[in-house]
Amino acid sequence: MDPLSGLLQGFSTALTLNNLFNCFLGCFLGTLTGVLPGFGPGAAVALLLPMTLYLSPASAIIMLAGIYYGAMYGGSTTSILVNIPGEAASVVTCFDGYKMALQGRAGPALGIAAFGSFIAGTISIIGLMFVAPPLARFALEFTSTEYVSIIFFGLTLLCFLGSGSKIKAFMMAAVGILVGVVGTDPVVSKDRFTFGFDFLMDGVGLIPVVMGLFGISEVLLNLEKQEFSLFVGKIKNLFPNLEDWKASKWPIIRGTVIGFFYGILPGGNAIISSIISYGVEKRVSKHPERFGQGAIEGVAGPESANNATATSAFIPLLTLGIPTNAVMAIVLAALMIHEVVPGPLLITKNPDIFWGVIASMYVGNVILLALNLPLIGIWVRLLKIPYVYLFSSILLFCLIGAYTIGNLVSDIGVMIFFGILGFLMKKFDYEPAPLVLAYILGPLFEDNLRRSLNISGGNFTVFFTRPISLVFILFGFLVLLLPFISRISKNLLKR
Amino acid sequence: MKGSWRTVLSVLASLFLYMAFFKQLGFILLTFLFIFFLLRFIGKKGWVISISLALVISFFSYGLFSLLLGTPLPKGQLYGSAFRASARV
Repeated sequence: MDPLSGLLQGFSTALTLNNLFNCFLGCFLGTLTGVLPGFGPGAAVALLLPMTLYLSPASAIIMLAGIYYGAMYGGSTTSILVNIPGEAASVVTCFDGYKMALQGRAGPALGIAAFGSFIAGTISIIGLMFVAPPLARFALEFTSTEYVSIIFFGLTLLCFLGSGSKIKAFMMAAVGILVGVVGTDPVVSKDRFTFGFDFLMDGVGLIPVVMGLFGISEVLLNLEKQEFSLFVGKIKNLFPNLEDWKASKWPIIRGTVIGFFYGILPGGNAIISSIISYGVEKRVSKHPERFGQGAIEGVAGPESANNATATSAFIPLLTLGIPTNAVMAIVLAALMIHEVVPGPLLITKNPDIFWGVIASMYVGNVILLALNLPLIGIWVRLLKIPYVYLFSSILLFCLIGAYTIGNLVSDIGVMIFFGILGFLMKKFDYEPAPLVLAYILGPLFEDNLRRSLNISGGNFTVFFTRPISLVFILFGFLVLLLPFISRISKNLLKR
Repeated sequence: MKGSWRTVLSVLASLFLYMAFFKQLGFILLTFLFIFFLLRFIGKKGWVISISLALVISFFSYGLFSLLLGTPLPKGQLYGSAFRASARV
């Protein structure tokens, strides 16, 4: 199916009243999670997953996708107005966005963030539309052997791309794999690491893990801090002037390109793409000293980058069935619940899902522009709600959500456990994202590894003799060796 | 609201108690107690506000999840034994 007729079909899915509502709800909740500090898209998507059980698969993904890219829009609002990132991908927006607000230019900052997000989002959807189908056709030839190599590459990249310490990311990935191993062995049906607990026989559930790591732990972290105070001046001139546009034009385009490519890479999430975009803008700028003092480029670039990432992250999920970040892992779970297998066949077997989601993204970006510019006042007022109301409802939602997935009280326990773990991890600067991704990719890796070894009769050389597999294995080792190579070359240069 | 280690620990304790008594006390009563505790003792809201909001939230969430979305939330043994008694008659 060519992209144009596919898109037309997609719009017939996305523009039904039902799905328009789901898309709107997703964007609305996404903006909300973006605006509210200490509550990111990971937790929001996990909280809403139980709800999507009652929707068709296409509607479910439309809504969850809306939350993800909606959060990228909303995140900038809090960064600019209160100097607290509404969600992690907007950390760098604080640097210049808040300075602009202090100089009385909160309006243009919010405006360029929203317009940049819109432009980046829209360009990325076009990219998604044209890149995904050929990639899926190419991936049709992949066997479990290729998947093993791709996931191996993904797991190494995951640690390398982390925003903090690489060693710590590596350790968390190891913990994630360990958590993923818990349960019944898929081939010989033996219990692994269940310690005699019956509830661990089915493994550790994704939703309790994500809710604990992203929801409960954030609440606990915020409880330990003092409540923030909000200073909001009058916001005027939401439309950036001609000069602002001139300064932001290229940062938006560069941010889009950077964000788009980082979204495709495993472990390359919106946080990193926004940081990289900020770094690039600072480097190419003729006046790097203006950064941190209210440079509009420092808002336009990163905000575009995180939106582009939120869209392109769907490419590996919808074509290979491999999630590249925690939110995509939950979307994968949502598809599995509906018995839709994400992979190369998804586009041909479930065109309504693939094209419906793409079309809904176009719609969603327009909705978000409307939600974020004229209605900005509503979100600002939301920030004044005392935190106690917010965290009480988040905790209750988590408790109910964890229970509803399997009607198991033990899932609540797993969630609280991972809540405490996540709290301690963040206290000691360990990122939860590598843990979640490794926990998802681990079993996927094991499954494919055992299948391909079964076919090859236990022969490990298959991974090196098949060309595509070899390329990914080599990439994986290259990534692992990169820190050493760069250190050696630095030492050589010094001499 | 003052943030401290003690706040974190008491919220954690309330989560554990929620889990421990989930089946026994039933969703509505337990949620009422949970929200009331958070609002009154963590959020330091007034008694009237805490009680009335906890009532509204517990019934509303029960209505939303159990009645509207059909999630089987536990009714609790208090209700259960009353039902069983009435069924026997």
